[in-house]
Amino acid sequence: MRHWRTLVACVLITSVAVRLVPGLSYRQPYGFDIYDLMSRAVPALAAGKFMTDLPQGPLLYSLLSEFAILGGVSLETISSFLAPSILALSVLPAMIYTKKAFKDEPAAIVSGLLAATTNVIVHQTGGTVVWEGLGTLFAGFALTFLIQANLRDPKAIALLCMAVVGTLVSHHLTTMNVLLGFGVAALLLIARRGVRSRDVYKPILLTILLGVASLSIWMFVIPKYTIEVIGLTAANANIWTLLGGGVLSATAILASYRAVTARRARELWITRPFTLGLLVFLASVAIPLLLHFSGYINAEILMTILYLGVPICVVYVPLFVIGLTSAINCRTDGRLLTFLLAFPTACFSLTTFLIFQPGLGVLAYREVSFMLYSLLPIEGLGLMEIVRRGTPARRYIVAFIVAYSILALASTSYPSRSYLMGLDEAYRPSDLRVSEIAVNVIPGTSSIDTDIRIGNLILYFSGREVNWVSNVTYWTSPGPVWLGKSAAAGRPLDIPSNVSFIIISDTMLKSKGGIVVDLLSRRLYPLPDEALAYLDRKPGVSRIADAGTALIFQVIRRQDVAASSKTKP
Amino acid sequence: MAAEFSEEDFIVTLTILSTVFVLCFLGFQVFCTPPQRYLAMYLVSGEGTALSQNATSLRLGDRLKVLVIIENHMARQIGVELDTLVAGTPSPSLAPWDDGLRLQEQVLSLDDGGTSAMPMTLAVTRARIEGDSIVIEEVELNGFKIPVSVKSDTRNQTLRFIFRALIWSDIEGRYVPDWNDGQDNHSSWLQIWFELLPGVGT
Repeated sequence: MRHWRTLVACVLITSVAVRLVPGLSYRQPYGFDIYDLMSRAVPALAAGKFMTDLPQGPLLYSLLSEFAILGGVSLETISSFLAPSILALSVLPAMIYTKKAFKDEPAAIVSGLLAATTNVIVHQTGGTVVWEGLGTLFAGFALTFLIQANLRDPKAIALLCMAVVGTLVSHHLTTMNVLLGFGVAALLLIARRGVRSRDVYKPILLTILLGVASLSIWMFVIPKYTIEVIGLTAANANIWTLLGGGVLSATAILASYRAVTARRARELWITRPFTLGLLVFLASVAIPLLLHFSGYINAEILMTILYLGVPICVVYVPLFVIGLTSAINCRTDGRLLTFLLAFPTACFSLTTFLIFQPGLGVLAYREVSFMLYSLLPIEGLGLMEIVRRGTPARRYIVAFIVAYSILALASTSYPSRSYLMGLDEAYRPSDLRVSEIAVNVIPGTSSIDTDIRIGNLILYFSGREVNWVSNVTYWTSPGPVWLGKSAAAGRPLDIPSNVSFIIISDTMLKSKGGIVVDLLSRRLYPLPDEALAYLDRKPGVSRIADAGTALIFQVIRRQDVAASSKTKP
Repeated sequence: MAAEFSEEDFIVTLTILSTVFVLCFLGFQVFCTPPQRYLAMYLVSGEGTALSQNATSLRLGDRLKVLVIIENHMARQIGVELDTLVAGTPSPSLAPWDDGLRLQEQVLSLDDGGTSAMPMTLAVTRARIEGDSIVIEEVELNGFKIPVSVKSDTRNQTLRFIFRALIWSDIEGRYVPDWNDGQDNHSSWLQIWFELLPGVGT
């Protein structure tokens, strides 16, 4: 293709532009987890070494710290501009992956455009600076080398191993996806060729090696978190949820097997892409509405699904159906098709499994981004198949329709709290300032109650040296104290004796559409406005800081009450 | 033109259109997201930390020393009137400061990014017991004795000092309680609950 490099440059510009939207708009880091991430890098800049465990994977913490040290710029600047721009490079493996898979440059550009603009992919790869971004970048290269190597070329296998190790030290859940992907690929190959085929032992070997390496790292290098999450997931599971997740996962794998072994797929929808798109649109609106009116999902989840899910479904489902049909009918190499389907199948299986786990359904969104990412070659092929079958006049129209769809995908990348179940990912300067004031004036031993969102800020400003009594980050859960319990109760409760300070933000209040962000495996509730009025009128609770959107209350107990509580056995 | 619209033309058109759309989206977001403006107000003890547990337990004449700090992040110079009030238990139907008695008002001007720290030394110098309540009759603020009449609900911890910031409004030509952060209106106020220890009024 004559304009290949120019188009790749355009895709990169698009990718960087979408990911810089929050940084340029708010001029500060964006994303719920970013201050937790930076809070672990702050001590490294001061002391020269990390003082805490590095959950999820150590690489991103190290990179942020090294950029800050070598570049002489603040962590905030790096997290606002540099890190999103670097994570935007995750579109490159998506394009190379597609190009290697189908030797189709236009399809590769389409894949790149979708990777650059799909809302959940943007969110996880630079829109917010999270571990998934780096994990996806490496995993994308792993998929590329897997396709390129076809498990035969030793050099490509070496590169594949390096990319897999990169994924492993970047992010645990992405590693789990890659691990499962290898496993599903091995299963599909065994089903197609039999267990004695030469093609089979390499993916099995890769699965075992990666499995052993992952377990070693998770148990010995970052021992606290990943194994704990897996343990809690297993502890919460029961036979029915395991069975339900297992059946759906097996169904997904069987469907992939059928696709891999099919000699010819029915071309029913290839000739009717717009009808298919329209039907998918109607279904993607109707199904969540039905679930809502039957009482299975609440209004907040419905809004989120409609806002994020409908544009994804309308673009991805028709293109996937058409792309897969085309790949099967073009007699794409069975082994290649196996690898292409193994990773989305693995992610889909894990997604269904998580949805079925009590309290973990909300985490399933993290799987969706990598699932869509690994589907990109088929999506690119699907769009180019529509274009190749259409007349020149239709191509012209399709270009505009797809460009608008891409804009729709990109513009839903940063949902406000009303479309994100009350969660606000943008930190306001006043929230930051109040957290900084709290860290500066409150003695380090005094117990502070606040939610995870503001908690991340006080961890950051204090270098994690703060007595956040309701610290519920990363499953090490003392659990919610006054804020979380009052939110869950829907009314202000008595302030427990272990709370000395309470930090409240507008983003927690019901009247502002907010929620008290607790551990994500629990249901999140808004703080009733009566709770704020209660604090304002409760004798002994002084209001010591006010920045408009965020407040600090100090609980001063009566001396006689405090003395009598001390003398009680 | 459409008759010659090849596959390569399609991908070039799609890529350029998508890039232009996304850049427009970026520009729109950047220009339509107002920077947040805010006023921060907080109080600390004389040592610069939060109040200690016993700092708010006062006997007659005991001095409560605090610094009230106001920071201007409103992206403009502002005039601030800081009102200091004393009040009893708030009425559920009123704003917490509505039933307070004004002790003092200080006017200051703050540049953008400017901070002002106002030392306040507060003491109750005369009070009497009335049934289950305490009635404060005189308060000393920064050395000035001010006669007041504020009744507490019960004897313990039911009296307050309130610090309320009002902002000068050019439109209204007066100090107003509300300021806008670019999206919502807010008002700034702080309060310290204190208790008068036994012996008061006897």
